[in-house]
Amino acid sequence: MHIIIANGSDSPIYQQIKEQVKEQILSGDLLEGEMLPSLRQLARDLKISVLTTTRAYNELEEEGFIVSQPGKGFYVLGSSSELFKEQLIRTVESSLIDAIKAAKHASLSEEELKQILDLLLEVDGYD
Amino acid sequence: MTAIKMLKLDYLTMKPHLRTFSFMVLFVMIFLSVGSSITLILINISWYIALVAANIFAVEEKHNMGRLYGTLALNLRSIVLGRYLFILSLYLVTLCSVIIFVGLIPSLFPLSGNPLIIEHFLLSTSLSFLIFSLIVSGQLPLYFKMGYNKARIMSIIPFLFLFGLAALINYIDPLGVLNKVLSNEMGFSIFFFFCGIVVMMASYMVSLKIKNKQK
Amino acid sequence: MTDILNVRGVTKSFPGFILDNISFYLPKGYIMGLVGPNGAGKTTTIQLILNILRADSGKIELFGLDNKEYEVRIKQDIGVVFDTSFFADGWKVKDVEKALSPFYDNWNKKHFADLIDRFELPRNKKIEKFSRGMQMKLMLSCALAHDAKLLILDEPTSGLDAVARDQLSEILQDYIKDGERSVLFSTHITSDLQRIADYITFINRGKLFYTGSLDGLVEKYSLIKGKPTELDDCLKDQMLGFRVTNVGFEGLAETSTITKTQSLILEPASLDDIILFASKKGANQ
Repeated sequence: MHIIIANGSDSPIYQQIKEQVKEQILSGDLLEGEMLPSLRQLARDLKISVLTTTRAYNELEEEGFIVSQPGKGFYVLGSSSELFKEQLIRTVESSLIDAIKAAKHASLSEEELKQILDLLLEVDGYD
Repeated sequence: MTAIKMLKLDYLTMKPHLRTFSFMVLFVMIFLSVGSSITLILINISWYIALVAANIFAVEEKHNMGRLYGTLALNLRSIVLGRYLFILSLYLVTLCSVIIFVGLIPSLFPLSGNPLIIEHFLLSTSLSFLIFSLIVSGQLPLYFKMGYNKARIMSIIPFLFLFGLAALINYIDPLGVLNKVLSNEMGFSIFFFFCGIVVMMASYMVSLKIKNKQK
Repeated sequence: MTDILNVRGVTKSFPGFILDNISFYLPKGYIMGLVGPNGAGKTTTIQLILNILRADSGKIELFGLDNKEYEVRIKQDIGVVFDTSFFADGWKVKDVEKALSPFYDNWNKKHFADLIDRFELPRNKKIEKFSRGMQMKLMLSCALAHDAKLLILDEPTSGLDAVARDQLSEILQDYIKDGERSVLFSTHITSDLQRIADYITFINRGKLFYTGSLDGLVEKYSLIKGKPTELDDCLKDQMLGFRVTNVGFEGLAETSTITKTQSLILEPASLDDIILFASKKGANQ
């Protein structure tokens, strides 16, 4: 796991951690069952407060990306988890909504938009 | 027991200064031991030590060591008691070394002193102790109350008081008092020691009360 | 689970200054910043905790024990660092150990020696010749050598350079890493705290302004900026403190109370902003 905190960033530090962990889980850099650094280790390494790392991990847990095992630590949840799936669907939806918005701006018709999607699916080899 | 630890801390605090101080004592002793009576030497160390002892308050104030005492695992009583014990032991150690020193001198230089009479010696020691404890007992509550810098001028009061007392005795009936004392040296020695201890204890109580009030 | 430190309704009055009804608590395993402008009552609060001063009313517990009744026992587990050292003339490192170690049952000679090595403190140099940073590290070594459960730092960073301040942050984070110890850190330089503090207790003019998580404080308030013409009485009332210039104004308000208009700019407030404007408010009154 790697995390880079941007000081000048508008989003708060806990948010930055969340985003980066999510990204690495979604991209497969962090695998199911992998253990995350402990709250206190991460706080120390990033020179941030323990409450900040706690908040980031807790929210990641609520959103179904990781799970805490009392006395052990936090683990990455696999894509088999319901919550995780839901989260992925939500990501798909929001990206598609962005795409729809962009399409509207470009005055594309519904047909044209679907065509682009089909084309991309073909290229990406989705089946 | 923590008062003993405080005593040790006071000792370490003063340690860098004690060397100069012991040279001074040595010098004064050599100077006085030529042709002086032991009574005079003992009485001189009483006020000298009282004067030196005040320095612990100067060092404490200079380095803000009150803050250190506040953080250590000890309570107020130990701080105050430790300070009294430190000053008392400074006196006792000096007293002992003076006695050993002066005890040696006659054997080295047979001419320099009269043979030691034990009653006489006890009386001198007890008188020295009484003077020491009167001065210190007057000074310490002042230092505890006002700190070194402010109390420095006030601390002359116990000295003035003693001079006044001596002058008074001298004025009223010098020979009468002296004869009475000399006629019962043993009894007065015990009385002086006793008074010294009582005065010290009372002073300790006053200092503790002052410190408690400051909170 | 008992808190490391619990201050409940503590009041202490002096001629011309009252520390008024202060309450806060510090759980195990966290760093709390005690902030406020100079003269706000931070040092008084610390002196009350250490029972150097006695409160007029209220109660202070450390490790679940009353701080007056169990003073000596409690202080076995506290380490304190001040802005300047409190050691006597002519002392060297070994004298400090000799003077302090008898007071602590848990004093670990080896640990102390290791810390002196780790902080690269010279053993043959007199402490009055040490730099501020070195004196601070020596006081820290003493606190850590007796395995203190609570570290109290009173303005430790004034007079420290950036490198030493950074080292201090690291040491403190290492210190709380096992989740058993806590740090109470008083300072008026908030950049030290902005990142590592979990909790903030903000005292202003002897009164408790806020106590809770740092995130909570920072989210509670926002900076408002706008044109001078937009500054009406209603807005002035809402703001905790503000500053007007010819070209605009800038102020602090609780995020929830602000009704956002088109041209007002809302920005997240930093700890510094909050302390600055909140203490201004007090000054205006």
